[in-house]
Amino acid sequence: MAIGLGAALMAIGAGIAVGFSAIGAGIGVGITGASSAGVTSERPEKFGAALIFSAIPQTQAIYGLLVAVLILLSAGFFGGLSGDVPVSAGLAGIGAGLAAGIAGLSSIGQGIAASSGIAVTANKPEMFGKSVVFSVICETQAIYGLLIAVLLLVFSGLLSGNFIVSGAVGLAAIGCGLAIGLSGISAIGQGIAAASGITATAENPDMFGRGVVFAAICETQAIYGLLVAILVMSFTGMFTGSLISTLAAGVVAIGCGFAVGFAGFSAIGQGIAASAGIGATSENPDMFGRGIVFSAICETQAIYGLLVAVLLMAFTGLITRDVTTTMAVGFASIGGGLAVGLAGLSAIGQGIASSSGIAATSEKTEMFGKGVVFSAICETQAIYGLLVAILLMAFTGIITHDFITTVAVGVAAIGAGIAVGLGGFSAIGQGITSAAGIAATARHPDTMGRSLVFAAMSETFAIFGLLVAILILFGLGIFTI
Amino acid sequence: MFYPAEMSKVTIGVHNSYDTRMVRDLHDTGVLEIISIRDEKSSISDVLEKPQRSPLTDTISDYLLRLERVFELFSEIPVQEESLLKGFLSPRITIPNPVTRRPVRELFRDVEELSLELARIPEIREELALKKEEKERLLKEIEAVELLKPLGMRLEYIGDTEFVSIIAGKVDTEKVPGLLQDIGGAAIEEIFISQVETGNQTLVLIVLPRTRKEEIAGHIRAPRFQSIQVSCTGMPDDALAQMKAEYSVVIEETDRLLAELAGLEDSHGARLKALREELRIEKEEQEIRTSCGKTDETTFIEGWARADDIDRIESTLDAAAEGHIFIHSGKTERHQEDVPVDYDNPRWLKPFEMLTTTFARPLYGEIDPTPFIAPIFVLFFGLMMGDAAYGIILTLCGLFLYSRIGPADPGMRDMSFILVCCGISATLFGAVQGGWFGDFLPRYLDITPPFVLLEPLKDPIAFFQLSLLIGVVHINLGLFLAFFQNVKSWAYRAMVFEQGVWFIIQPCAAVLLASFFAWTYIPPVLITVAEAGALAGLVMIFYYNGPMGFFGLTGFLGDWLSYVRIMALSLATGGIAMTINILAGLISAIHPLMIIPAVFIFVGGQIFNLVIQSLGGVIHAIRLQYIEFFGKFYTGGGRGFSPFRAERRHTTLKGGNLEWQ
Repeated sequence: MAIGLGAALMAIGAGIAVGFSAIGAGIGVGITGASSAGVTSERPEKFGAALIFSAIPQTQAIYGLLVAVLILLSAGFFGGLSGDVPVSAGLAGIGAGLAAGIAGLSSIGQGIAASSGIAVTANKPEMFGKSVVFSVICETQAIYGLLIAVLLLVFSGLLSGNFIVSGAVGLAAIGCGLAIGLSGISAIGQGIAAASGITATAENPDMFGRGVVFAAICETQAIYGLLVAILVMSFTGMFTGSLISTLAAGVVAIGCGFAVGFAGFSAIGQGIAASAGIGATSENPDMFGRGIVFSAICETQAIYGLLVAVLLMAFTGLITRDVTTTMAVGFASIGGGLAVGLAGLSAIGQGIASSSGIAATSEKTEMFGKGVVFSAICETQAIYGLLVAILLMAFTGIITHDFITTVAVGVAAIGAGIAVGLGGFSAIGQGITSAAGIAATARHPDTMGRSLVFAAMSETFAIFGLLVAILILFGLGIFTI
Repeated sequence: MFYPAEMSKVTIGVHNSYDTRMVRDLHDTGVLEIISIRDEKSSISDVLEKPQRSPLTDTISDYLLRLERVFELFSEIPVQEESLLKGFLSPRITIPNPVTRRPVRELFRDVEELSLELARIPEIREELALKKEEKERLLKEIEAVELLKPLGMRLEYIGDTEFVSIIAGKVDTEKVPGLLQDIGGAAIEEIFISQVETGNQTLVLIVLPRTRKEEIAGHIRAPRFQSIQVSCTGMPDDALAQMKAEYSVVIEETDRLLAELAGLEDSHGARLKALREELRIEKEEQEIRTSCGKTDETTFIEGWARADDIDRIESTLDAAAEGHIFIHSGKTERHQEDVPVDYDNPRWLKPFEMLTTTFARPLYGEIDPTPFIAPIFVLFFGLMMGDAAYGIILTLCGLFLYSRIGPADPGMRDMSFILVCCGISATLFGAVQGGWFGDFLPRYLDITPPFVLLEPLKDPIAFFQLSLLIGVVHINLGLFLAFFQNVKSWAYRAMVFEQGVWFIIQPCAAVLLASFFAWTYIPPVLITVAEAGALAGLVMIFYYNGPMGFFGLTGFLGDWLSYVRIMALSLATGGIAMTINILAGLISAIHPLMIIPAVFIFVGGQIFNLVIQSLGGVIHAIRLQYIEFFGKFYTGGGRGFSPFRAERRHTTLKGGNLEWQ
């Protein structure tokens, strides 16, 4: 068969699909397997149940394999295809591969939950059903990924052979894949919370409902990812067939994907906080409301990511199709997306601090307000990311629809995005300090000021990142345009 | 309403002959939180004697214990497996018994009388225990005889006779060869061993001369050899039939006893509960006496009450003590510490108090934020939900819960009231945002929704600006409340440097931004003024806070930008609903029959979205109150007001409760 660039890209997409999902399933089944081995050594009769739990994280690999096979099938790898595969279709294939593949990393979260499930079911067989429910909660991300992958393959005409893809749509498909795939990592946070839910329900069966609520909180990031993916598919005309033709619009979609996708990692922080919330609530039911508040604090980053994604779609004319974007705008969108998306990982630090806040508040109710203050400190990095994203949108003319920058400026904006985005990781360190600060303040209320100083130190590095980002923008001369 | 209720500290002194009536009336009125004389905060403890615990308290405890034993027995009556949901939705409402206040001896007499009427109860208890024993014995025997069935021989043969011992036992199959070997080692010739294997257990029958039994006694011991003994006779099948018949008789009799018990509970249960409640109230009144101070002729009691309840206390106790009473009260200044805090809100605001209490009850001298957060929370929730159809569903759910469960459970009643308010708000703002199950109406029915003012998906910018505007207003409301509190307590430095500085910086920053972005023309003079003002503001911040002042700036910016979540969440509701509509449409377009799964997807998806967005709306709306708003002016940490009150569920006082309602 004739291999062109398009088919080659499809092959890469297939590789991504099966490869990343293999990572996820491998690690997930590995974690569960370790637990299973331990359990069956003590209780050989539990082998069957352990096998079932080990099977749960495997599904992601099957989805990945399925999508890989579908991609190869539509590229004609299994039997000659008349006519070559256009490059744009190849790009859509990569998008599908990213969707199913990276979302397959959700298996890691399932593995965490399932391993807790085995341990508990070994001692209490009646917990089998509820443990399976908790483990399966973390599957939804993989299902969303599979859904988007299939939708992409269907609507780009890949499965039927009538390729109705334009270059822009191909790039937009990559954006969709990133959006749903990266936000699928939220399942790791869900898995952490679900594992805690399983152990809490084993000790106190009334905790089942509340445990599920805490675990479900971490799902919102995946829903935002799904939302953005579907919106991109809708606005680029994949559903109706009136495809958008500006290549730059596809690049903008990649930026949206980065924004909401990386920000979806915030669910890991939420999961850490939620698991502490479950523990506190099972000992003291009054902690439910405050536990939820602490967990919800870590959701802000995901909201900022969603916000930037939607604003990019709105301002670059993707929604109304009344303006034509330029490649400069496209690259600037990637920069903005990286800025707010990567900075969204600050939520992991917030989650660490919040879990400490929950523990302190369950012992001393008056620590609630102070715990919240410590957790909120770690949010500033996300604000910096949002700020840079908005500045990029403002000064490259995105907001005013007056796209006046050059491509080079757009690419340089990516540098600014990386600077402030990766600088946001410093919040993880801040979170560790804040967690200790909360514990210290619970013992001696006067330590609050000094602990805040220690916590603020990690912030300086994020400020360096912000500074460099602003210097880049300044040096590009876009402030004066 | 804007402050917690004003409290007064009250000291009451009464002649000893009226002290019982005083305690009783205070208990029934239920408006005084009593400060125990043994508490270090009591101001009368130095001059008065501390009374000892009365032996009457112990007597009451004894009677209460007798009643508790009856209730224990009642709890053994099996409850019908009502479906959980049914029990949740139609809870049983207790109808209280009308009673009058009686001397405690009368209550004791009532307990004695009831015990006579319920004389069957201890008898039933004994009989039930006997039946239980009998049941267990029969079950064990049945199990043993089942094991011996394969032998097919008369059961009375097992055991020792004059010359022969017949022993039956259960052995793990894998251990049988070992057993046989050991027994063989005793070299008894006149021995007969029979085995019947069932799975991994074997039934072993050994027949040997009685005189030789001792020689193998060591081998036929537990845990290897589980000997089976039975006390019945005849063939196994007959014995089993007979025992099973006996068993069902026992079960019948147990059921009959339980039915009798249930009958007694029906006829006497309410009276028993009422009596128990009356005794508990008496006990509390006896116990509170140790908190009073005494002299030879008088009893003193000290406590906290709401200032507007003082008149009530005075008139009630004056009548009770026929004038032989002394009451002194004084309103407590707001800056006093350790004053109990009670809310002072109108009835329609009361359900929202739980939102404030979840964060922290206000301090006595602080503003009560409930009147502020109640309407704003409802407003934010409505904006974030932004779907009228969801709003209607939520309102209906709230009304349903309020009418069904509300009467029985005050906590649920408050929550369902809040739900109804939120539902109405969501309906209103949903209509304004054009959301009726997302874009269902325009997409599938070609109907343009009415009353639309601002659709988030079509005009996200306007919504963005609206959210930021709401944020600015909300934050400044918080700053203003803090400013107001500082003015009242003459904290001028805080007033200027914590709030005043932001009132300067904000307008200056707005002017500078507007001129920088060229949104509108600003005369140069104004720009210069703004620059000066901003600079002055920055200087003030760094002067007051040191280098940490920088985080004050980023914090303020962060708080302000946090309000964009209103826009994001409303977008999410509309967007996900639209996604579900698209998916359902795609599925139904495949084939006319696919309309059925499409409908399922639509209904399931919209319900899922409703639940997720409601949860998210509540969490984020309340988070904006707790973090961004409270952070400006509110500390909390007040101690709840817990008056000495007679809690009545199963009784009501005839002639009306003295309780202030």
